[in-house]
Amino acid sequence: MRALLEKDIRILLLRKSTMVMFLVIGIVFTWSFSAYFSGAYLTMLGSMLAISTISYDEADNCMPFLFTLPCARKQYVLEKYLFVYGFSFIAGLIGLLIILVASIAKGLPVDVTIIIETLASEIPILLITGGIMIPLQLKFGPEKSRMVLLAIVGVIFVIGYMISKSTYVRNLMAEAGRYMDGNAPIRLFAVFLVLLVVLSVLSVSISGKIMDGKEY
Amino acid sequence: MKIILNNSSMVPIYEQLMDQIKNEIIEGRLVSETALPSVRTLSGELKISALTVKKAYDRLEEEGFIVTVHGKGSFVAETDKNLALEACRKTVEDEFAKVILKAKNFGFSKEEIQDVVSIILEEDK
Amino acid sequence: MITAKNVTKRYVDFTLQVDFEIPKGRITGFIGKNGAGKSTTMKLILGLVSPDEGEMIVMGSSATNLSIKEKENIGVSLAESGFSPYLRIADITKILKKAYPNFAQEKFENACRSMGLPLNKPMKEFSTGMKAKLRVLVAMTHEAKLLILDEPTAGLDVEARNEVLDLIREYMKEDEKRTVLITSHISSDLESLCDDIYLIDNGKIILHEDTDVILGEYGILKVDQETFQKMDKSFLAKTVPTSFGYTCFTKEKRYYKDNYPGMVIENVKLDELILMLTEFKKGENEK
Repeated sequence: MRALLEKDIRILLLRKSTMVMFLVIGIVFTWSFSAYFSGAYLTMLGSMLAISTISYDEADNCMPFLFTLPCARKQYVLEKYLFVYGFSFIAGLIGLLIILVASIAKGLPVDVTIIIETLASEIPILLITGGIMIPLQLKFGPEKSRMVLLAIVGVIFVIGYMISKSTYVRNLMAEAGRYMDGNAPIRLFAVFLVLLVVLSVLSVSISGKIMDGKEY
Repeated sequence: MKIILNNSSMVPIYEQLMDQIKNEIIEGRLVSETALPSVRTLSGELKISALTVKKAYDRLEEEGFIVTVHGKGSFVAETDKNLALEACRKTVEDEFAKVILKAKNFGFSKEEIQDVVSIILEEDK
Repeated sequence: MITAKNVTKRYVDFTLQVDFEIPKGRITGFIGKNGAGKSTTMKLILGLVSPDEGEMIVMGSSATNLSIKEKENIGVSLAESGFSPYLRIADITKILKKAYPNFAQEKFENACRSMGLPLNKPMKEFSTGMKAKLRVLVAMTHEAKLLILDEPTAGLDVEARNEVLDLIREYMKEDEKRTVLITSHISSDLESLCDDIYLIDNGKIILHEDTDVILGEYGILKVDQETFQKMDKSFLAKTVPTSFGYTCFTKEKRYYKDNYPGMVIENVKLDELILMLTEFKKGENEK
C-alpha cells in the first residue's frame, strides 16, 4: 500500500508544471473575478489529476505487474480512494487559503462561514470525481468512463430539471427555505459530509468488486 | 580446474565432466581436500544444468574420488594413486570389452580384432 | 514450491490444462511456441487470472490468495508489463524500497550503473535490451525465494540475452535454495540455463524432462527406407517421414548407437524437439 502511494506521488510529480499552471490560474481568477473561485476549482482539478494516475496504471499495461507487487487488489482500490481524496483535499485547502488571503487583501469580511461554505462546495466535487469516477474508470478505462460520466451527469441534469419543474417539489423547497437560518451552511456541510462518507463506502465496495473480477 | 565440454559429442556431458575431474585428480592437479566449486557455481560457469553437475559429483563420490559433506560442499578425497589408476584401467577395459563384443557380433575373429588395435596404435605414433 | 493440480483455464478459442510440480532449488523452464500457453500458466501462478477448475498452489497457498509476506518472497518480470515508462529508475527505487522490506537499494543501483542503465532518465527512453535487464534486476534485488520470469529475453540480441541469463545464474549461485521459473520461446537460452524443461503446446504439457536427460539420452535418428524397415522400432518415440526416409526421435540414443553402428544419430536440440513433437500432426506414428 505504501509502495502504491509512493508510485502515485511519483507519477503526480511528473506533472509539476501542470499543477503550477492550475495554481496560477486559480490565484488569478480568485483575485480578479470571483472571490470564491479557487476552492471548488482547485478541488476539481486536484481530484482529476489524482484520478489520472489510474490512466497511467492502465496505459502501457502496467496493471499486471502492479498486482505482482506485495499488495492485494483491495489495497489497490483503497489506496486510490485515499490518494484521490487526500490529494483533492489538500488542493481544496490550498484553494481555501487562496480565498482567505484574497479576501483579507481585498478588505472583505472573513469569518467561519466562508470557510465552511468553501469546504461544503468542495465535497460534492469530491463525490462526483472520487466516488463516481474511480469505479467508472476502473470498470471502463479512461476513454469510456468519460463518456459514461457525461451520460450520468446528463441524466442527473434532466432529473434535476424535471424535479425543479414539479410544483410539489417547489413548495417543499419553499417550505425548507423558511427553516433556513444562520446555521444553514453548517447543516448543509454536515449533510454533505454524511453523504460523502456513505456514498464513498458504497463506491469503495463497488470498486473492490470490479477489481476482484478483473483478469489480466 | 580447467574443463572443456563438447556439446556435440555423443559422450554424455556428465561423463565428460567426470572424466575430466578424474584426470585432474589422477594427474595431481587437484590435490586431496581441495574444495570443488558448488554445484550451482560450476553449473553456471559451464552453462549446463545443475542436475548434470550433481550427477557427475554423485558418481565421482561413488567411485571414491570426492567426498561430499552435507552443507559444506564437495572435496577431493584422499585417493590412493594406485587405486585411481586401477579405476582408469577398469574404464578402459570396459570400453574395450564393449568394442570387442561389437566386433564379435560383426563376425570378427580374434586375430582381426588384434590387427585393428595394432593398426590404430601404429597410426597414433 | 509450486503445484498445479489439474488447473484448467478456458478462453473462447483456447483451453489450458496443466498439472505439474516444481520443486525448490531448481531452474525450471517453460518452452513452447507463441500462444502455446506459457504466459497464461505464469499468470495463473501469479494469481493474475484464476483457474476455472483445479488449484494452483504457490508456496503452500492458493495463487489468487497469497499474503503480502508471501508476495514479498516472489520476484517477477513480465514480458509486457512493468512500472509506468514515464518514471525513472530513481523513482522506482523509492517505490521498491516501500514495497519490499529486503530491497537492496545500493546493490540495485550499482547493478543498474554497471549495466549502463541511467538512473535519471524516463524508462520510455530505454532500448528494449535496457528495459529487459531492468525488469530482471527489479525481480531479483529483494532476496526473493522464487523468481518468475516471463520471456525475460524476448526481443534481445545474443549479447543482451547472455547478460540476462548470467544475471539469473549469479542469482542462483548466491543461494542454492532459490527457485527460478522462466519461460522463453528461444530454446537455446533454456538449454544452457534450466535444470528441467516443460514443453507446452496448444494448452497442454507434452513433455517434461530434465535438461540433462534431453541432451544426454534423447537423440534424432536419420534413416533411409530400407534401414527403417529392418531396425528395432521399440525405442522410437516419434517418427516423421522425410525426403530421404525417416527422421525418428528416440529417448534412448545409446541403444541405437551401440546396436546400429554407422547410423546417423544426432544430439537433440530443443528447437528440433519442439518441431518434432508439435508440428507434424498428420501421418505421425506415435508410440
